[in-house]
Amino acid sequence: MRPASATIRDNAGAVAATAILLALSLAAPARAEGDAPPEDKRLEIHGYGEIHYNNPETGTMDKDALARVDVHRLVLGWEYEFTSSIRMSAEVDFEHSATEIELEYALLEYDLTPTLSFRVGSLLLPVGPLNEFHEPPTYHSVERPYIETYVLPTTWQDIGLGLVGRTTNGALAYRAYVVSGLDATGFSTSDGIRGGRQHGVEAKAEDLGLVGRLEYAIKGGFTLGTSGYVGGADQGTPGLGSVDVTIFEGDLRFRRGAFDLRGEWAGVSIGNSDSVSIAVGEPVGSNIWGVTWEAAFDLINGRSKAPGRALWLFTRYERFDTNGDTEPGIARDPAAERKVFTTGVSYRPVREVALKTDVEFWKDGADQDLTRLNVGAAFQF
Amino acid sequence: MTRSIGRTNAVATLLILALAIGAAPAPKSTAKAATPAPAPPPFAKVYLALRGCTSCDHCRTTIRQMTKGSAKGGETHVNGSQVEVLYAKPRVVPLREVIKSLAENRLHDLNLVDVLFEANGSIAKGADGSLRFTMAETGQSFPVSVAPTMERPADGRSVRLVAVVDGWRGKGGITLVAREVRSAA
Repeated sequence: MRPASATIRDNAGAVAATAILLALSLAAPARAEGDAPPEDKRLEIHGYGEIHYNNPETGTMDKDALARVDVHRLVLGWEYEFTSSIRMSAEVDFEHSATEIELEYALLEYDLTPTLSFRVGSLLLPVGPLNEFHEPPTYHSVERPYIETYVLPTTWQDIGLGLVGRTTNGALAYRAYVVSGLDATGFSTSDGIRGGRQHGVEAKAEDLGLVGRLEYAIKGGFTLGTSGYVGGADQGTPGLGSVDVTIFEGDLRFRRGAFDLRGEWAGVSIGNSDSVSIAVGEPVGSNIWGVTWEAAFDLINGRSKAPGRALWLFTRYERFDTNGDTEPGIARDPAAERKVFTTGVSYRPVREVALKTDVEFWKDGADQDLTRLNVGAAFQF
Repeated sequence: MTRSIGRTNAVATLLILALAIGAAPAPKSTAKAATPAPAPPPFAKVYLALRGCTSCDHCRTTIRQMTKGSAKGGETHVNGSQVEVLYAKPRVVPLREVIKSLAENRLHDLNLVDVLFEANGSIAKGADGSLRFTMAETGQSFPVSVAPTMERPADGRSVRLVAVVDGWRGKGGITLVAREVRSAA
């Protein structure tokens, strides 16, 4: 007999989703005067891509691992406006020279009011500052920040529905979605919850998740953000018991003139992680955490006639542990605690193109260290 | 078992509601769009050119919501780095507010670089001898400058004005700088 609290928890997302859809079915869309856009203005095409050289390859602490070069991502996207209040948007990611194809997102958006929209489909979860805004020219390093890989599993998309809104001047933005939950059978020691993403591929939906984010842009260049996620992750897997995942994240960024400073903290707690550890055959953390700060300075800083031209020098420190704590009886893997110091340069001849190189210095809790050289080229349009 | 039934019901409810939304009758305006007759130009149009991040879904939604929030019913379209706000019928156009919503946004990588305004109305000299463009039916007016060499209908005639909007970067008033003035007939 499943406890009543678990049943409520499991169905909370569905209840919330039903309530949202009921409200929507009663609400008329926010119609503007006039008609749908002319046919030649309905479709918008966009995309981005990045090519990497990593020496040694990523995802290892083995100094003897080979160097790799890879067309890591080539993403093509489009948006089609049915009316000025209803549109669809999608991106397809051709990863690793198009040997892996992933639906980045595919959603329908429906404006309820001028500043509040409803979304349904495969959604990018609003967790952390990078998951929704991950176009490679927007960050300075060749690889994404590692806290956004090992603690917050970007790119994280799942099927769901919810609301996205903001104040008129854009200062306060918010998103809240109900999505299909993680699958705990994909959790691991070194990658944390990353392997639990289902990417909307015939995803198990026995457990749902609630996710939200608030961002506030303060005049003067400061942006504060916070994200939260709570959801079940056992997906009804026999013998796993009830597994809950809770994520909390906070971030701040200061951008003004030649300066770009940012910091972030993220924590993940996994309930019943001992049964998950037994099921997957390796220690899964009951607590996963990460912290990072980064400072960047633009040597050009507007002293060029080319709009957006910049030469960023940056340095970043990250510390994270995907086995921060484990349940009693589950031995913690010290190698899951990692520190990464990255420093490098990113040249942007125009704002949509970035040529980057950096060096990463890794050290883990098992006293292994590694130095990696990365070179990359990235674009977006 | 109870859990499965409960979830099945929830999923079925979601599907039915989603279908209900999808099956809602098409608005009359969609039917109008299918007619072959060319649509008349909108009463007024604000055209905003942006520089910065306009390619990702979230940036476009942000731009759209900020603009719509100030457009007071204007039909807003975001296409690449261009935003158009259309007013099909005569009404007061919140031009300053629409411009402000994007010019004073707090996003780190989005800049308004140019604004065009197009509307029906008439041009005439005011009491102080300066030219003003007065929009048809609403009486809303803006100072306008017209190059002496530009051909245009006589003062007071109905015209279609296409103008660059100037002065929006400062705290003072805005001025229209005529690029084209043609008969509105």
